[in-house]
Amino acid sequence: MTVATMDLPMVEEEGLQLGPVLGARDRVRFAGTGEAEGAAVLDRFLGLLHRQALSSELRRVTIELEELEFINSSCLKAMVAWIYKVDTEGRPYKIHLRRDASMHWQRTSLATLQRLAPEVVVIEET
Amino acid sequence: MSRGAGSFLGRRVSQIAAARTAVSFSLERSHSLAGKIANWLIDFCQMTIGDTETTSRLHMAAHELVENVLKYGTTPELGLEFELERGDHESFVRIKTRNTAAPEQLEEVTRRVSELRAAVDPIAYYDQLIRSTAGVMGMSGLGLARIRAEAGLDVDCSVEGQEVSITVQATMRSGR
Repeated sequence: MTVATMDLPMVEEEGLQLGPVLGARDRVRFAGTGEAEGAAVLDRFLGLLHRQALSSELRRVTIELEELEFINSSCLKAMVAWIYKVDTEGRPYKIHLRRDASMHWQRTSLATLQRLAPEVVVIEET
Repeated sequence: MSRGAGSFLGRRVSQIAAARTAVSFSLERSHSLAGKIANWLIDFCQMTIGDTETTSRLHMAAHELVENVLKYGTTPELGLEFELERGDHESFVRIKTRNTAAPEQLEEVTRRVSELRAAVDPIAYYDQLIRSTAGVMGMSGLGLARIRAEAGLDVDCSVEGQEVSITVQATMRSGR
């Protein structure tokens, strides 16, 4: 049986690698490092992800973050804007953030995102 | 605002018998150059302090500071200073940036740092800042609050003429 992959591009720009997980209809993977120039790249990708999630009527989207080494506050802001949109526009789906808890920034920053929208954001451990 | 930093500095010197390293850079306002220097500083901390969590917190602080000066600086140069006093169990670390900025930016950063320093709970302040700017497009304005709330470093600033200096510092765990 073939499982559909999310209809999203593989993006490799400004130190970030963003793309769908092959064979998973509700899962994407982020890797690399997101500095200031990466914020627009991440923002565009999250916009596409949001539209795809709505059009596919997904109830949940998982982002694998274990290979994301660091993002600065501009990239964090892109995630904040997306989560805020989901939270304030009817909560059409939940956002599962899969982290590597051995990375200090993932522990603190993902907890920050969860506090922003506890009904929407779920933290998963590797 | 810098008086608080001074008293903090006096206290830590008496507490830590340390090997001291201090470096200062005046450099071109270039993203790749500033980023490389920030990475070099973090590599240095990893080697000397040897504590992964401390290094990670410093990595966050250094990269947020560098982004700040690159975003808001108005001249081709910027200053970056780094100081480390390494003790057996604790190390004192300070990172300072200097850049010129437009008058409205000087006012804005002074206001933000004053608010941040006055906040009883830095995490609650950070959360509130995130909520209040979540729907606003453009600059994040979260960097300094993130350094305080997530990296756990003290943040201070001073303005002289058109130049702003931002200092972040903390006594942090050493791994060796």
